Amino acid sequence: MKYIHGFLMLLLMILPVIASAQDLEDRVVEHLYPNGLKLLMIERHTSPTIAPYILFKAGSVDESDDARGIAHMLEHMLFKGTNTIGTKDYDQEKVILAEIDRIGDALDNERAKGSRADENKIKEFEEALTKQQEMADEWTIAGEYTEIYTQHGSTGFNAGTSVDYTIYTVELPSNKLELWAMLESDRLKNNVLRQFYVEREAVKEERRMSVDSRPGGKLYEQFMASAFTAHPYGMPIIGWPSDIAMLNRKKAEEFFKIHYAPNNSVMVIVGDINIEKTIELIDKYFGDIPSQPLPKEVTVDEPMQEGERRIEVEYDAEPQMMIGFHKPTIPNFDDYVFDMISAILSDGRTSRFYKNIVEEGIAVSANTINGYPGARYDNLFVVSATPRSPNTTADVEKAIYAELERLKTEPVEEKEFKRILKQIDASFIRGLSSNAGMANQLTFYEGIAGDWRYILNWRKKMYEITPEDIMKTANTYFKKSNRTVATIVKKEQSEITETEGEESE
Amino acid sequence: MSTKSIRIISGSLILCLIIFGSSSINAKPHDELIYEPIQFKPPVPQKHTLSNGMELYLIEDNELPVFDISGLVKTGTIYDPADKIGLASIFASVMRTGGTVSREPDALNEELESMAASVEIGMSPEYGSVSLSTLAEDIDKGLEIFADVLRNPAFREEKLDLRKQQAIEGIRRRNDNPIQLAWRNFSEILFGKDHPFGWYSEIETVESISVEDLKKFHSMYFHPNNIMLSITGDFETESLITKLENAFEGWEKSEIDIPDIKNVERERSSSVHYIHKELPQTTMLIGHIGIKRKPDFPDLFALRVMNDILGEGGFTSRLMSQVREKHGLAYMVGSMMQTSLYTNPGEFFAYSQTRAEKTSEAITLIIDIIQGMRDSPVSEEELNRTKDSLINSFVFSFESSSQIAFQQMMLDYRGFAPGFLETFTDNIAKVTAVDVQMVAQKYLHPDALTIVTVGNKENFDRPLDEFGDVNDIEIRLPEPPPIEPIPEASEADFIKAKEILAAVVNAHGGWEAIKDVTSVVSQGKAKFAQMGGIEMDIKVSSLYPDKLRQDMVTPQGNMSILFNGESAIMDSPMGSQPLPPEMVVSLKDVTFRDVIPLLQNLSNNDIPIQYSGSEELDENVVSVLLLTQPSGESLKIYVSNETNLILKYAFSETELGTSMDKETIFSDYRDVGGIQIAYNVIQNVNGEVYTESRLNSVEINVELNESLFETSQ
Repeated sequence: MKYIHGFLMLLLMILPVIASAQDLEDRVVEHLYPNGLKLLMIERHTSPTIAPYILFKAGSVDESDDARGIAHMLEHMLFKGTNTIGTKDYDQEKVILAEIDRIGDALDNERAKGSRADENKIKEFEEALTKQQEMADEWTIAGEYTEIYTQHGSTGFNAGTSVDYTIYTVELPSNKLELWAMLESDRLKNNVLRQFYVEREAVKEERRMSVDSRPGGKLYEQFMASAFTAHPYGMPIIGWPSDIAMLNRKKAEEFFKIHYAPNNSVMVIVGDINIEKTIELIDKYFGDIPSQPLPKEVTVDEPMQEGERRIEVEYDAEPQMMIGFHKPTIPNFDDYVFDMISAILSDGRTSRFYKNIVEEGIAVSANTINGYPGARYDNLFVVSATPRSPNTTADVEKAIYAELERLKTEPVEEKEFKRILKQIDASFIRGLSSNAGMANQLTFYEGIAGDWRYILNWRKKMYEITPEDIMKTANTYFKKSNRTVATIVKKEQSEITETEGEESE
Repeated sequence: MSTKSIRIISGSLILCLIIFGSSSINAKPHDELIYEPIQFKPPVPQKHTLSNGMELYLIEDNELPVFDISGLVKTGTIYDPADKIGLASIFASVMRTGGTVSREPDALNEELESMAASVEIGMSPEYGSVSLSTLAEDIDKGLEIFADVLRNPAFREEKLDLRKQQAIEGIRRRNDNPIQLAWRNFSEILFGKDHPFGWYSEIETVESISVEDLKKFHSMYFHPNNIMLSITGDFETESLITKLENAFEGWEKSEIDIPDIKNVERERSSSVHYIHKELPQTTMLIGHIGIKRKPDFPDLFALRVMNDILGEGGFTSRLMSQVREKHGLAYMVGSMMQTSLYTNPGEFFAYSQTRAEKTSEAITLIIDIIQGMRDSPVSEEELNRTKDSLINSFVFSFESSSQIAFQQMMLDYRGFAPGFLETFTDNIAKVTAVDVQMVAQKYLHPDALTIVTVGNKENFDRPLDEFGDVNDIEIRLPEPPPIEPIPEASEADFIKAKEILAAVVNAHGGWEAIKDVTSVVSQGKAKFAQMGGIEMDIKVSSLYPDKLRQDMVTPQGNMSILFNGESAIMDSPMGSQPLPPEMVVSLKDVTFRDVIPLLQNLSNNDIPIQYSGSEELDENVVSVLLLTQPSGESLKIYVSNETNLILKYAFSETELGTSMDKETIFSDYRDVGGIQIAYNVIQNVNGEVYTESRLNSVEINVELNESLFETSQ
């Protein structure tokens, strides 16, 4: 669906690849501004359109414990306008916004007392908050920031927050490049995070929709929380319900101040542009944003797993499962090998899972992803599967392990490698066919791998992988003690009555 | 605030987008920007028809060394036979996975994937799709395989079985996701379970699909003159056409007989439905039957603008800005009006997912917003903003050659008038606030909304019945398929059915007695199990073959239903009112299956009736007969093997848009003038007792005046 802004990006980009590597190398133009902003451009005149993207290396892993969910919340708030857009008179409005913050804090603190909270006070604060919000609405022009983009013909106007980063995307007719530069730089320099508490309700609805009302969402959240015990990769991007309930404008502004720096971001513009003019234009609008010290990286290492973790998630749905193995992230060589393993197991109708699990009728689907939930820190190789009745998750699990065992002992045939490498090359070429697709790849790899040329290097590495590498990697990581297994099971009828009324949000 | 223009030069499409900045009261920095005009001449697909009638839309594009075909076949899931729902989509997938006559499935996969190519077949409601994607270096091989799959699919049995198993697993899981659950029920209620737009495959309909069915489907629709292909990539047109002629050589034109799709006959009416699921959030769909697109459809442009403003236009739509941005009542909210379907009207719906505690508040707000579109004209600012957005973003319809070629092919397929794209922006520019309000009044019907909710009403802010009587929809896991599926009727089954029928006639009094019965009047008491067990006096008068009257003494006074065979009314202390067409359909079935006229009818006329096995029913062994009622719903008759009396009927009936499984159980047969009449009749609905009727007097061949059944006032 169009316009799901704030969509949580749980999936890593599937790796592209570059067949005509030289081509891409020649076409990408880099420019580094004095304030540390890196701009990548590809000139492409197929249609009079552009895809300008900005990525900030600021994801949910960068949050502090008392502000979990703030990276995602901030991403929503940055659509609320600036001190000129979204307001009739900011000087009048800001007085009321300060009052809203004050009442909102008092309300949150009272609610946080839980059963000891004073219901009368809560009611009083709620009424006061509503009143102030109505007063602020007098000055607010709701949705103006978005409306400007829409009116000027934007498509794909969106943003996404992952564990590793936050990205802001749009496509526009190419004569709107300056409009984009003006609007984007304005929200970096002069943003006003108005309508905070109303948006917080929308985020709670997002959580109810994407996690609580979806068996797959629930399973994923519990699975991650079990696989990681120390590293923030185990925490949900959107935050737990009680995290969201305590988010406020101050926390969002602090997070913004620390992480949204030009030297902590990547800008990519692909499409119908003139390189020289674009460099100048970006300088005009972004050049005066000062660089600042880079935020600290996460220092906690996930301790080595020392025994299988196995969890059940009770839900009113048919069974599904996830299995995860801890492994190192890029640029460790093993990570490349896992990309190859993932292709062998689940890419296409010739893959092993498809032939031996899906076509055998054991599961309706069985897939693998390398690199959950992010790539800045060591992550997981994940298998997810949906059994076909009457087969159970246990049956599917057995079939999956049989395939993983094969990888440890049987060398992969030449033919299998060749097929995968040809597909890698073809998908690279196909990836060059859209502005948005290229912008996506470049921002991601420049932002997370530190250099977009990772894309080129990745292909070379894939060609170097040998059958022995696969066996070695499989033997090292596909171990019982290194895995987490999560399954959905149906609630027993008796248990529904037992727990009734116990949990409510 | 801004204006723009589009120019068409020499028949091809030239986009010219200009925006002039202008100052407004609240001057914004971007108002001062000046935008260079864009002049863009997108490539125009070249049309060509192959000698076998296949239509091509070609654009050469050598930016990348790739080659793509994306085609349409005139068919679709709407052509599923009613007893084999799911056939078309299963067909599409097995057409690919089942290999071809000369290529085993594994070999086909290996061949394609080893050259990083793909061939896929898909199925949508109103079209089938076929595609090929290869690198330019593999065009020849790619075309050869593509043609082989289109012409010679083998539909191997084991691949069909696998796909059927997968489809059944999908049916088992379809209640897990609240949106899917709400949607399925919404369209069933809107269009009815007897229409392709409202029906869904069930385990039985999937089970019944055979390799023969797939072959038949293929031979009905897969002919070159029923296929269009859009082709883009690194090729040279003239030599490609020669290659295509060669690849499809010997595949001849053929007469194609596309079945008619029956019209949706349902009227819009308001109804409220609730499906219980233990979730913190309520999923709601609110809407009605929408519109069918005609080739020349001038309202389309005003509708685009209206729908954008209402709920299709992303963040700036009214639903989004009110429900989400202003009230924080949802993350996803919006609306959609299908305007491209051509066989039947699609649906209009608004949707939201809102915390249970705000359910009614959200529904009320959404209905008010829909109503608001009709009540007052949109502001000039809102109108201009929306028109600008549609015009300025139009360029994104021309981003790639494959998109351009496919788009033109699809417009032709759907029967859009030529020049649609060339005049699109002009037509949008002409739309006025009056037009928008006019189409809102014409196509939005807030007084006839179907509301479907999935959630937990324990936590709702207010009961749903403020929106109308609430119909509770029970969700159940579909029954596992019967161990012995009902075999297709053989000649022997028809003969056996006739034998059993003769025995039934004898047991019920013999043909001599039955053939002369012209009317029956029975009186008794009916106990309504689901209304606190209340009992009412009831009198049923039947004048055969098709007139029926039921008089009942209710706590509110006397209530009668009169049916003259064609129309029906209800008389009550509140007055007299006609019954809706849906009820008339049910009443036709009721008079059809009334035991005595049914036996007369089956004995006199050659009505197909089939024996479908024997079962155990309350310790009796019974034979099951199967026939079709006037509504098209089937009727199962359970006949005791011992007494040859009819013990039970089983059938489905639609009430208020919901299909219900019903059973009528007959017992306490007594002799009335030589005829056996059941004095005790239990009516079950969805497995639970609804009424139990006990008769205390039955008279046959009573003089009944036709005026008793008169339905006109």
